[in-house]
Amino acid sequence: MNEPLNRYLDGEIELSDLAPEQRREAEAWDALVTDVRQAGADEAPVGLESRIMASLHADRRPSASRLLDWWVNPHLVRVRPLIGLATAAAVAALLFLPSGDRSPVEPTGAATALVSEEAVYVQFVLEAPDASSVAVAGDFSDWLPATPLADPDGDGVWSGRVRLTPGVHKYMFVIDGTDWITDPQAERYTEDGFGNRNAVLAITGGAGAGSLAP
Amino acid sequence: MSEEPSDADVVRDVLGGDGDAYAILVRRYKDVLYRYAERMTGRSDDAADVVQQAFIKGFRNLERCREPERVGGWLFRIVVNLCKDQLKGRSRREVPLEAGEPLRATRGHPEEGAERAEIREEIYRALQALSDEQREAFVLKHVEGWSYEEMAEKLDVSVPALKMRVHRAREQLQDLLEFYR
Repeated sequence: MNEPLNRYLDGEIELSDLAPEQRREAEAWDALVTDVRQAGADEAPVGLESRIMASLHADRRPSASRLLDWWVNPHLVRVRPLIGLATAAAVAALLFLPSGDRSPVEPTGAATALVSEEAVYVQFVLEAPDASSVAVAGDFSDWLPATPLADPDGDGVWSGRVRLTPGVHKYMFVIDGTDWITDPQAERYTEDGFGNRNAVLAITGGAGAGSLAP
Repeated sequence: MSEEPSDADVVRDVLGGDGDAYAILVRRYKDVLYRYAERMTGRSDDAADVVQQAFIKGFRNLERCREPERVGGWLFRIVVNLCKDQLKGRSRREVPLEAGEPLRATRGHPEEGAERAEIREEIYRALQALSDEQREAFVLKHVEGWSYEEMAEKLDVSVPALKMRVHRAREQLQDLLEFYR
């Protein structure tokens, strides 16, 4: 591409400054640039703004407050590595009960942890019979509803498993892609400063632990 | 009629605890950030995710924005980096067009519809065949209409280097989109 044409496209000279043959080329370039500009969307998709703000509702506290939560509110569940998924599943329902209470609970909405040697898996469960889809979003997914829950038998109980690192996590459920719901069965919550609550889940790894109690 | 608050006012309000004020920044910058992300990633769903992540990251780190009156540029730099991450993580094999391969588009003024969509698709493919740096410079120059000086400030790249990227992008696009020659 010749230098005068680049200077024209850079806005340094006018079309009339070009030789006639260069003007034709310049006009072709103007057409290309116009097409490139028009080839994509001019605006963000409808709903993106509300999606962003909804996700922020789950994460709207200054970092200092969040740090304070880490120290003041964490509900730590110490579990030991389990061998075999069947054993882990049998134990999962017990993990978030107060110390000493080991009776089974109904999975009507909660997060429970399944721990293996390599990873901590958290089972998220929500009863939402009217939902078409349910996903979980949290600080572990940058508040994107990246993990869909499943309801294979159509009984309205949605569940799914997420691999998490030990630590304190906050999360919410997202119904039908738009409605952000606080887990009604969470053990702990944090206020987001806007009248909504995030569910809090705290897990420590199993190193050396021999108890399921907090 | 109340006057729209400045960016600096909004940042101050958000940091002061009015999280809803952040919606003003989202509304103000989502389109320009999305346009950039869409051209860079070539996918509308990826672009929307990038913009959402950028605003979330921006919210979490707002206290680190040293020039609140220029928070738009600060958010833009977050999007630039997220787009780079997105592209790095994507297999090059997903780009169907090899550099230098001419596209099939024909010159003319196609009617709206299938032919228009085909032209748009081929322009997208041509953009994706550029290097990330060339595409970034070309999009900012010709889609967003930024000056080289604005680009240099936001990308932290010299004006001569940016001009070189844009010029090379033009040459490559001219080869790829041969009907514009």
